[in-house]
Amino acid sequence: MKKNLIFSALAIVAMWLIWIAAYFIVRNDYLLPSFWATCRELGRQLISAAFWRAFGGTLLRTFAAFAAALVLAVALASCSVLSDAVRAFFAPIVSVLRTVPTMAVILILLLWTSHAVAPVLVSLLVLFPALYAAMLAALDEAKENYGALCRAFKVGVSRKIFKLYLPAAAPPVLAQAGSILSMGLKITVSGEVLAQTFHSLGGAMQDAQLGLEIPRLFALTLLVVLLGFLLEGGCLLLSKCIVRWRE
Amino acid sequence: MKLCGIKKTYGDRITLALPDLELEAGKITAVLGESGAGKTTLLNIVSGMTSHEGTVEGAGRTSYLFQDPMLLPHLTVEGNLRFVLEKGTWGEISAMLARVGLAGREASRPRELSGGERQRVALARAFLYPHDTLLMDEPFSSLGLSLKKSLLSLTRELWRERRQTVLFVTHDVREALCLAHRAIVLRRGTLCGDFNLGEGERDFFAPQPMEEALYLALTQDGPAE
Repeated sequence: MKKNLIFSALAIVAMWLIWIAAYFIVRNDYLLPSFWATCRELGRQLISAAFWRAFGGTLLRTFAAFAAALVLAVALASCSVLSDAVRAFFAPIVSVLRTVPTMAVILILLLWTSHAVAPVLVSLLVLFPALYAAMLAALDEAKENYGALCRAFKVGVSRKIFKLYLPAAAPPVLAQAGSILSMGLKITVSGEVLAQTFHSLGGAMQDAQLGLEIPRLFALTLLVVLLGFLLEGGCLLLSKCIVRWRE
Repeated sequence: MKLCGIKKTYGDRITLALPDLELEAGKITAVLGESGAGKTTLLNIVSGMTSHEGTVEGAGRTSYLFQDPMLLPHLTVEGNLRFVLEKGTWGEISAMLARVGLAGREASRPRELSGGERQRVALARAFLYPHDTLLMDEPFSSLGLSLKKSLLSLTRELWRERRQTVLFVTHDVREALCLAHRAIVLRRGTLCGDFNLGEGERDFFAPQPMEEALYLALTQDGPAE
């Protein structure tokens, strides 16, 4: 454990050294700002009210997209595990959603919806197939392990879903939720950049790029990366608390 | 219970084809056979869990005791019993748990129980579930000898209270002799032996007079006497 932490710390130091080396090779602050300039900008961002408004907006959009995708995935995967016809119906829809280009979807959504809603919808459309697949795999495993029990004792549909399938599926889905939520953050920010959403980290990045405020752009990117780590870590902690019985 | 023209096929392969068979109500019938003889298929047909040709009459409502206790890990012992019961009072549940030697363990999780205790919970679940016929699919096969003996006695005691019809699948002749009143022997999906074992209640460890005949029926080719 301690050894792994040392290697992880070494990787961070290596990335930092590459940045410093690249800065001295490029020597152009408009292409690559120095590490210290970025840190200074990061500090400035952390005490600015506008940043926290953007941060809150992005976080809210990410959580909204994740929650909606999760509810949709739970509902549809539950239907799919109960009926092969429903599973066959959703299979091509999920495949299409998985392969459709994200940027194209954002551009289309911008025609149909507002700048604030488009990033949420695109994030939802990207997260849903991942959550649906994770949910369906977990439900299938529960069905394989306890399907005979339910058939033998003629357990009703609602009891099967709420007492067996969902609690049994929660640990594996929660274990993946962190990485899926982190991916949701990336997609939401990408959507915000393209949609130039007001009160958003993506919108702030777009502003920084247009104003050639490169240290600010890098500082915001760094903050999004840190937020992604925090979300992943938080989910991991949550899943550990919730699934104590598995350990 | 009457089994008339029971036949089960997977594609072209016949996995079970039985002659008409009548099983006495309120008695324990052991179904003996090697792996792949069609024992579990027969239980699944009686419980209505699998499609088949022919008819099953008089099975009524069935309860099931599996080889694996199949306890849901996220539920307590009480939760596992309530999972299959449409209604069941606290008194009924705690009384049944006391009967199987698990008094006061209502709030325990399956991971906190030993293998034998888990099978006791499964036994409680099977007997607590309202039924006319109890189907037991090798429930003791993975247990040690002394535990097997004590659970066989417990099953016998629980059965004696209500005397339901029981179909008890096993490949262990001793288990059949210890518990059942009758043994039917299946080989490659067909009936190859039918033995009246009398009143049962034999000692698991004592030598049994019918043992040799049952072993012969299980292992020899051709119909048994």
